[in-house]
Amino acid sequence: MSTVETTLDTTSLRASQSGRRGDVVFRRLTLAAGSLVFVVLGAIAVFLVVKAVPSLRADTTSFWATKTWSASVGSASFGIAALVFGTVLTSVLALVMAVPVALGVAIYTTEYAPRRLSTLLGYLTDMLAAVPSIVYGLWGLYLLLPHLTGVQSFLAKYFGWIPLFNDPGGRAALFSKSIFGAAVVLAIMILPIVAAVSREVLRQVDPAQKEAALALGATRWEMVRLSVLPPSRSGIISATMLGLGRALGETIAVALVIGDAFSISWKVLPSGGNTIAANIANLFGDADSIGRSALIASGLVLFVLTLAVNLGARYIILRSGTEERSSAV
Amino acid sequence: MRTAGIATVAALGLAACGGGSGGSSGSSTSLSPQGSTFQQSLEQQWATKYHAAHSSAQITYSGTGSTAGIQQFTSGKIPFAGSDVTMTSQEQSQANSACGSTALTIPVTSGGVAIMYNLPSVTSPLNLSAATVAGIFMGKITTWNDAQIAADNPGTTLPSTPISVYHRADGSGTTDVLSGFLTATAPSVWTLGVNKEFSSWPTGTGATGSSGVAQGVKSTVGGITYAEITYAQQDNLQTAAIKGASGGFVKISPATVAKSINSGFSITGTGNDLAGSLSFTSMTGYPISTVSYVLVCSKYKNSGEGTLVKNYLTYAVGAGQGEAAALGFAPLPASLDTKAKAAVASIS
Repeated sequence: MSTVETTLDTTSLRASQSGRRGDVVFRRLTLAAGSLVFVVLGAIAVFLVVKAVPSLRADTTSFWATKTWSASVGSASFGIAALVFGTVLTSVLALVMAVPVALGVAIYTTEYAPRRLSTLLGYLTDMLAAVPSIVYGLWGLYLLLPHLTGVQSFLAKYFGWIPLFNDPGGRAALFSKSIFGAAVVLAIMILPIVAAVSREVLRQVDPAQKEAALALGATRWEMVRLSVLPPSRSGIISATMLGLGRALGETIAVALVIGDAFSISWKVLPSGGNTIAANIANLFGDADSIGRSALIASGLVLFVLTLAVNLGARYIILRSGTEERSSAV
Repeated sequence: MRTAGIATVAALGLAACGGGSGGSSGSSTSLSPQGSTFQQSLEQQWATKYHAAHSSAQITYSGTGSTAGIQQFTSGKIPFAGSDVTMTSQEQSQANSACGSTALTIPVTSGGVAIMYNLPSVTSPLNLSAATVAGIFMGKITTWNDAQIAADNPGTTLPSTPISVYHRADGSGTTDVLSGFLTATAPSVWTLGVNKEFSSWPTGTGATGSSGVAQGVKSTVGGITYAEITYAQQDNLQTAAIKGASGGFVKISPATVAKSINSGFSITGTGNDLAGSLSFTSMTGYPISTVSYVLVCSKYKNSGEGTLVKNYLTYAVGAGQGEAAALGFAPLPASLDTKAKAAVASIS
């Protein structure tokens, strides 16, 4: 195998004239592909800004502080406050629920499961990622939410002292389309992507390091803790951010299971909550020109929010990367 | 590019039909109207039946909402639109210029918005007056044994279950009709005004689509919502008898809706334009009733398209009215149907 590659390399090097031209063409092709990303991203940003301006001009109240959404020609009064709150809260709760499980799945499939089971688990996780979000939404609405009432009353009863699970109205035992319900559905939706990416990251760990740990008498758990997780940290953060990105932008599944209330409340159990993407899905069909523009303005906010999250993640990865290098030295 | 695409589709359509209609030049075989989700199930039933009778005609109605339907129609992108509301004067003039002729608004069906609830312990249908309905949806009445509900239902034992209100999260003609009814009949309690959507509901949970609100009520003992009657039938939910400004408590049925349209609908358009307005206070039948329209051109630039629109709508306001009741709609009252038939006959 290796000898074949070497001969190929030398022949291609010898054919210098055509090789150089091929090099130039290929470099330009990849450059074009790379810059396309910038063009598309820029085009989206420009589109959002241009389309958002008319509604922002027509808005009679503060776009940032207003909690209601009433956007139509003549009487435009809408704001992003409650929507951003709901978007961030559902996504963060989803991460809190999904990441530990996803990490468990990844560690089990790479370090503990027998090879055959590991392959099967890998396939199954990938298949979960391929389920369309509308299916998750319908499943959440018709099956999960009606069965979540028990969990809700348990949380309200024993963890009611945490402001999130506080339930003064005693409505937690009722079927509710809440921030909590949406976060559970989102957690299940982002679980496969976080698990799959983490799994690939954990697979990259140098087997020599693992063997070294085991040779030094480490148990399997100690081996995972000492030589698998630390070098994978930045990759796991990337996987988490990928999940967060999906959770922030998830549209139709959330639109189906969230309570569509334009309010800011930390109580996640009773019906309520709304997100930017769900609001767009709900209102776009019947929106007039100002209404559409207002929804696009909220889309712009989501766009910037996801961009900020991604940049934040890059920064964390960069920093933890340098830390690792310095600690290794 | 766009024209080329349409031409290809038309050519394919003609080829597929194998000259069934004699193939006169410019004849259309397919229409893609869109608009009101309220009349969507009826339009789809009509399209299926019409296709069965005229195999060369393919009509595909998309329920994109009345607003989207009007937008697409006034910019000349679709042959006709379904709408629960009439056009504003600005939209009318845009439609006229897109058609190159006067655009007409023609009622094609009517229907009621049912108030449905989930209260297994109460077996006889509840009576709710307009003020009680307003109080419930405004969050002023919060339990089922509230004095106001008890006053509407003497002799009925009511549970102390809390009321869980479900309302539409997306824009909807049903929200528009309910808020119109409450504004007309209980203005002191219902203070939100008339709109297709509210972000300022003082109580309750939002859900997407009529199926969404019905599902919410089905899952919640003590739940209540408003939607087309078919959703109550599908999910086995009870519907309340409603008392408006005129008459007593009335159950929703095709007959009571037709009675309300007869007494509460008046045509405001002229000639063949049958745009009208609803007066909820003078409805003597089921008082939360409305009509749904189609918006058409009186003369189409493409005569083939005009012929197909005319033939299809002739069926819709004629034999097609027989399909209405099974889907939860009410056929147009005879007097209005006669006018609708005449208006459709004038399309060319």
